[in-house]
Amino acid sequence: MPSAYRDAVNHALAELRGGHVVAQRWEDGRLIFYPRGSRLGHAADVPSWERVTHGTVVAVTTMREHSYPDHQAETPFTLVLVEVEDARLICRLAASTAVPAVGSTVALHADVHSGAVRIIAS
Amino acid sequence: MSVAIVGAADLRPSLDTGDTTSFDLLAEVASGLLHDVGIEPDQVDGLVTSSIIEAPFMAASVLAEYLMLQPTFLQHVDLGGCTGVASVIRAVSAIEAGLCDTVLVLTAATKGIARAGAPLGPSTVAPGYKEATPQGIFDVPTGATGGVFAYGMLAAHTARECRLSAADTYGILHRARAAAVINPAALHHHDAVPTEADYLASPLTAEPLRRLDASVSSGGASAVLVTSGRTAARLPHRPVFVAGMGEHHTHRSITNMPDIGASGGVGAAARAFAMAALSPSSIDIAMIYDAFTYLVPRGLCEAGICSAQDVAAHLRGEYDLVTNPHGGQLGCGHTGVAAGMSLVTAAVRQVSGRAGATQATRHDVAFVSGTGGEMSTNAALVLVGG
Repeated sequence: MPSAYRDAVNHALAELRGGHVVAQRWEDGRLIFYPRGSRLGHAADVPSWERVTHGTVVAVTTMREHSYPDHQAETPFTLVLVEVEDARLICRLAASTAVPAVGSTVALHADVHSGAVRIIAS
Repeated sequence: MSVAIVGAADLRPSLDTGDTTSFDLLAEVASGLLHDVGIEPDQVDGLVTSSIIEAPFMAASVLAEYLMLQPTFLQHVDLGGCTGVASVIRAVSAIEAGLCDTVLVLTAATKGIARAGAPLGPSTVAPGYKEATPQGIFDVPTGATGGVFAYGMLAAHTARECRLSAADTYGILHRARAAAVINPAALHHHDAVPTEADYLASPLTAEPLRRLDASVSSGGASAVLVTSGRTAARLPHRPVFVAGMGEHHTHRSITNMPDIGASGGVGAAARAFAMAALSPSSIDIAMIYDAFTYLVPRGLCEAGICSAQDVAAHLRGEYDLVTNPHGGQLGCGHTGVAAGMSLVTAAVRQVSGRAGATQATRHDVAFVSGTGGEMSTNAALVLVGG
């Protein structure tokens, strides 16, 4: 999933959005976010990538089946909407991890192969 | 504002549309509508349609050709569950701009084929979507597909903010299904109304959503005819003037929803009421997009019709407002991209006094909401009887 091309796109998006953090990438198994408020394209304003390993839970649901648009059974899994800096992302809860409460802090791990981010502790 | 909706038509939702194509459904609903209003096809100079699964490219043009229309205004709208309301807005705008006079607005979905405009499901992720879009890159790999996960998250938030109990959400389902029993056009017209025990035994899908919290996917078609006030004055039914319109589209993926507690529905409704110079307290009927039970309290609050503190009491009938009297999608079925339009057609019938057994006593002013994706696209109408 991570690629130089996508990084370039992320840079362009962040610049378009005035530096607000929505772009992200994975590196060495960690989530990499643009620093809040940085103006990409203005090199002096971009001191470095910021490594983020924790986030705050915004919402949680445990999926058991897709009822919409059609019924499909699932092996239950929990999805968590996590806020990191001023970006949000969907994470999948690792099987052995307790379902976190809204507002709590969770530790994150990114799978660089699938691109999926998992919560490994809550 | 001097543009009115002068007719509405639906095909009864079906769990199996068999070999019927979207074009069959669109032509049938259009024919019935024009006949009811008393307008000849050559008087139609505008056409707006939703996505058509059999025509992924130039859908509106293909449909115009199929119906043998040569309109001066032609539009394809692809905004998920918001499509119906947004299509009316585009028709009204075109008439007011002088581009056309009479617009046929058509929506339809077959059942059994992946529906264009529906939220992404495991079997409906388009080629390239996973590699090329933020949702595909960041959400899909986690299993966050199909939209229901997002509605589970939104439902949990709504339940917490509005202090909704299982009895409250069952009450929403009960009212919808009870309305369907008296509405012969509803998918669930012949079905027994689920009991609270049925509801509580219904399997969880995306917590806290249960299977019975979701409207049932079905095929069908809904359509309205929009025309100038001048033309409306010559037609047989009470015109339903579009007094207010509003839209606000804030995201596609819930990941980028600015505030999980407030969708673009807030701004869409505010714009519609401001344009109509009416307040939410002045409406008689609310048609709230109800793909899931929890969207009813959410929609009422976002429209400013009630607050999180009083919405539960509102739903128990402690206020005068009539909400989804025809049964909504929970009672009538979720007809894909036509589902949002089915709320518009129901509102038009109510305001024009042609709603039959589901007719509300007070029916001069109606509010209609539509939301698509993961509350991503939002539009609202305020309709006033002429």
